[in-house]
Amino acid sequence: MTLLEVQNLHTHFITRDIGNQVQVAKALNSVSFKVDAGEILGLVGETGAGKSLTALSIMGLLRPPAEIVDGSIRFEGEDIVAMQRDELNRIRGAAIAMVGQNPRGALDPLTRIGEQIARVARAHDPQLSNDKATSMAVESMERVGIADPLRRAQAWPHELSGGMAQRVLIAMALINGPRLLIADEPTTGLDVTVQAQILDLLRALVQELNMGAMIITHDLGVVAQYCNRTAVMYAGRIVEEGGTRSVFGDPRHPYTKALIGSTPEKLDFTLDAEVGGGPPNLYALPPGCHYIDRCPKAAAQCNSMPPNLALSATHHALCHFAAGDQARAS
Amino acid sequence: MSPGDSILDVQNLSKFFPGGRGTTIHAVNDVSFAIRPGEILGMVGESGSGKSTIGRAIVGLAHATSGQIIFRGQDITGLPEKKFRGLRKDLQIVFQDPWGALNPRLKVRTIVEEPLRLHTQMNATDRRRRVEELAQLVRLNAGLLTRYPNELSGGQLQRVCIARALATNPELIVLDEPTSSLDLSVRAGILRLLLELRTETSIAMLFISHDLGTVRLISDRIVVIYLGRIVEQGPTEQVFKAPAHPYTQALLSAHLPPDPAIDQGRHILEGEIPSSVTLPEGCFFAGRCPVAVEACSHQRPTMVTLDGDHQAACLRISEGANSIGDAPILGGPKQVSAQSNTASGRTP
Ligand SMILES: Nc1ncnc2c1ncn2[C@@H]1O[C@H](COP(=O)(O)OP(=O)(O)OP(=O)(O)O)[C@@H](O)[C@H]1O
Ligand SMILES: Nc1ncnc2c1ncn2[C@@H]1O[C@H](COP(=O)(O)OP(=O)(O)OP(=O)(O)O)[C@@H](O)[C@H]1O
Ligand SMILES: [Mg+2]
Ligand SMILES: [Mg+2]
Repeated sequence: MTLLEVQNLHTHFITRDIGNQVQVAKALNSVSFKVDAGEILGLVGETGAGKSLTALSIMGLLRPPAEIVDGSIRFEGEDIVAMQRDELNRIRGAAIAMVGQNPRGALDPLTRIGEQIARVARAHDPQLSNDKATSMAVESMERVGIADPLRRAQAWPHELSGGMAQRVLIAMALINGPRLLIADEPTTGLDVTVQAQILDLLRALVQELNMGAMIITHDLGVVAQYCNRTAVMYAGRIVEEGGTRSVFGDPRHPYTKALIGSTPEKLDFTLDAEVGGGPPNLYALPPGCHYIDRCPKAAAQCNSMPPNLALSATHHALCHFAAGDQARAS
Repeated sequence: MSPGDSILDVQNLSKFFPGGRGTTIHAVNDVSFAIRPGEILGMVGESGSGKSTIGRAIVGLAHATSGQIIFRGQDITGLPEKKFRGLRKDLQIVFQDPWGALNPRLKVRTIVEEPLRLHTQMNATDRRRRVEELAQLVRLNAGLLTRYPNELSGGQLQRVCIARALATNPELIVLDEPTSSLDLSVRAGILRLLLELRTETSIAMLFISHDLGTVRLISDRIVVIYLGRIVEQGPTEQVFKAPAHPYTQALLSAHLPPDPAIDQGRHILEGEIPSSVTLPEGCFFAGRCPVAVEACSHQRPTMVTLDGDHQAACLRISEGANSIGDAPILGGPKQVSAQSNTASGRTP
């Protein structure tokens, strides 16, 4: 069942410069993807690609000058872009929950963690008694593998290790029984042995609760080992999307190839080196392919918008030459 | 290996910091290792395990609490800054964060030239030539030499840092997580560069990283640190293929290969690294170790030689009971973590 369906999402930063000229940074440019119940989608890409912005757009957490200028975000069939504030609040934080990147920064240092988790439950349901909210918090802590949750509920945030703080945030995200969980870099900054604990927990929860999840990361190992499907983002566009095995085993977009070929395990000296440089200027994006300036295979066609070529029913790539080199030669 | 063979000998190095309220942070605890000329030694360990402190002590930026650092046969432990200056030319360091490491008010050319001015007798023309040579060596477009750091990308800045460290032809460079703050494709360029330098020069390197893939690619030998102590060291492939210490085994199995076709059986550790304020009495890893026995919590294991250069500090090696492979797999909620990872094979 499709939980979330994002279609042609455009999120821009719109400002005026000193001369009162409108300046537009096109940060998301027609982003489309979906997340099904019971699956984990991995959203990967380099810094500034627009991954967090995608999450914030879905969560309705954009702040000016960021603005959704076009597209739809359907959650269980309802378009949440068109929704009113109070309706949106009903969904956000309850049906869709988010776990952020910096667990310590996200906790209130002056409130015991059990109370912080309970607060999230009461915010969603003001009728809830304190006792009920507290017992829900303890239950949620238990579910994320916190041993001795009754005692731990009394702990202060500074008493928690990084891994434990991340578990608390997951407990908080789960308390209102979300159907979709968005985790933005959930393990960045955690030790590898702890990272494995957190990711195993997320995967187990997705299966157990039949939730849908989206993990945002720049770690290809996390995607390869934990995500059913992979979406690769570059300069505000999804350039390739498909089953994880298919994308890693047969990447078709030159950027995906370069990304996979950059991991130490795969570092391939025979691959065409990238032309260098960084991502394009969001205020002046090229008319066609956004990767054109770095692509070793760029040709004249690339100045026009590439098609989203279907390589199979579930694997797409946004490249004129995604079908293979034969197509290019002809 | 006898001390004469090595360019650097670290012997029983310890470094403590005051931890406030009368406590002590035991950042580095009785660490001994050596680096041979031209060798790349990889150092892995999780956050706070003392890697940077070791690196900083070697280049004289932190003073050892006890132990010796012997560089080319000379004891350089606690050498005053003035005396250390003569060594700078041969002993360099590159830090993790290239943005913070460079003076924003100086042009790149001046930054790379600085060590030549400070530590060599070269005249201006020679220095100029050397800077251009270095730019070429680190694959930095010569046009960038006239720019300021804020006009360069992270990868370009890290190349500047490496060029500066290489300027005086040092014999040893400490690279402290030189690629961790960089994006994947940029990181690949720096790794490529380091691998090329390895064949083009004979500089020895201490390569500090918590990324196992990178360390495996770049190092001849590796040292594994846990809570400021070496738990295992040996030739890279030997350690990766047959890790002996339970911590090394767990660390390697927690590494996520960026390839869904690799289906790794994993051992998830319970808990997290204990505090370096109150050190455990016995083996530092005993509290999280799936094969620990009673003795492990009060007896400090010494290094056992497994095979040639490969050594590990675990009491259970002598009984052949150090493998966590057959130990029950711990942690995770409700037993689910015991499964192997088949991400895409599990679409419901
Ligand atoms: N106020 C702003 N005006 C213009 N552009 C902005 C503004 N704020 C952010 N951006 C741009 O929006 C883009 C998307 O940023 P986003 O945070 O989504 O990236 P990301 O993929 O999450 O990167 P990271 O991996 O670093 O977290 C970036 O290129 C950023 O420079
Ligand atoms: N100047 C200092 N004063 C007090 N404590 C310090 C100081 N420098 C390091 N420490 C402590 O020493 C321990 C080891 O730190 P170190 O930076 O060497 O670890 P690391 O292995 O490099 O970690 P990371 O992977 O996070 O860089 C940590 O507990 C750290 O907090
Ligand atoms: Mg982000
Ligand atoms: Mg460090």
